[in-house]
Amino acid sequence: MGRRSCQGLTGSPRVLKKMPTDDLHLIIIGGGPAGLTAGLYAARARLNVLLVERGSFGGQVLTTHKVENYPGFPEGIPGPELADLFQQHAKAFGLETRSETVRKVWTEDGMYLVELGDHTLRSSSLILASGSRPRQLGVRGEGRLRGRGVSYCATCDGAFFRGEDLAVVGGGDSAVEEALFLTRFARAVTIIHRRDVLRATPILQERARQHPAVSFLWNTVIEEILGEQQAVGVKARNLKDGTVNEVNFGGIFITIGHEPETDLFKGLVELDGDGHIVADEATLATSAPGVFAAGDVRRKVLRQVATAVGDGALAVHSVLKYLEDKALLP
Amino acid sequence: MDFWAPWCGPCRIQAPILEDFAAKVKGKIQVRKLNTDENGDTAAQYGIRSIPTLILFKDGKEVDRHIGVAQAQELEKWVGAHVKV
Ligand SMILES: Cc1cc2nc3c(=O)[nH]c(=O)nc-3n(C[C@H](O)[C@H](O)[C@H](O)COP(=O)(O)OP(=O)(O)OC[C@H]3O[C@@H](n4cnc5c(N)ncnc54)[C@H](O)[C@@H]3O)c2cc1C
Repeated sequence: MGRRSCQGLTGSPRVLKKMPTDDLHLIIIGGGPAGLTAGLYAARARLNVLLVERGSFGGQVLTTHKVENYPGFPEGIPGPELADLFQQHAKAFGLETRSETVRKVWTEDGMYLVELGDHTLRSSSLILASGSRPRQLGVRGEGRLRGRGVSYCATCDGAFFRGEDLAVVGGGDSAVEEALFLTRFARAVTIIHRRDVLRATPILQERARQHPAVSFLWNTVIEEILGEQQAVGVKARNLKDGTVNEVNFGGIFITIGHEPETDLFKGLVELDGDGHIVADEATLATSAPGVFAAGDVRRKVLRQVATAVGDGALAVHSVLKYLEDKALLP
Repeated sequence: MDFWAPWCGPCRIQAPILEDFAAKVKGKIQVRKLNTDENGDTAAQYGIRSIPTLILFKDGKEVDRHIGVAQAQELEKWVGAHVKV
């Protein structure tokens, strides 16, 4: 237990540390698998807790066609169903949630302040579980045509591209999975990759190569996405011979990985070179006391649903310990 | 007009926000919903590529579209830029 030096001068620590009623023990930022599991544990531990999610509960799981490697579902389970179950389970313990975007987080007098749309909440501790977002190509036309033929989620948007020629940009597992999934709707799918070999696992590569509707554009990068109201194609450069061609596509699906959602936390906690939050493996403590990180948002080796829920549970365990040490629990 | 489908998670977030909004602007703005599963042709005709997509019509003509969930404040601001609410 740490020494509490000054408090004895003005009164008992208990009185000093009594929280105003509108202060929370814990705010969880993000309602993906990590955040919802943290919410479940925290609500079950009767903490005064609030979870804030800007979109739909479930995070990236919602964009997954089928989760095949989460225990308890030997047949696999559609991502949206799993997301629903996570949410129901957390709510079953009375977890309170807010559908809002966290805009700013800072610290003042040992408390953490979390700014939402038009008000600010105060909490003794935080769990940062904001996950990651799809990486963008960063080329002209991409932002303007997002949702207008440019997509980062085949499961979400694929059905709107029936009978069309589609491009999938990337060379990893998810690029190949998305390409195979899109063959259900598309006439043809072209995988555009900047190298001449895929990074995807051999099984997936094999499936793609053998699929009659899947073809490849190797050593190729996209320079621009073309179209006014709707995407109509790409300007593609061949890295071997330098030639630039315009190729028509009804839809362009970009799957070149994810980047951590940590812009908000710069200056609050230590980030690594990739922008992931650095957290202690044993406790998930970040560089700021009382702030813990869970799930894809932190520096870790394996980013999966199973590891995200593990983080959520561990983070709450650490929060409880932190609040106890500060004598903030009844 | 809210283009949505039952399998779309974000659409489920949008629905109650739009309901509140509809009650607020009753008599001035009509809020309608279109299920893209049941009306695939209409969705295609409007070039819907992702849902939820909100299209704002004025005098029968499209004036703007919003792709992705519009939270309450955002929705009011977006509509307010075109129509007095
Ligand atoms: C296409 C695809 C397929 C996958 N398939 C599998 C699979 O088969 N098996 C598997 O185990 N894993 C799979 N994964 C990985 C898995 O989905 C992730 O590891 C997991 O979702 C991480 O959970 P998380 O809670 O850390 O983050 P996320 O799922 O990213 O959730 C973070 C949440 O935080 C919210 N948020 C972010 N910023 C803010 C803010 N400022 N204010 C409020 N809320 C905010 C986001 O909206 C989001 O809902 C897949 C991922 C993708 C993209």
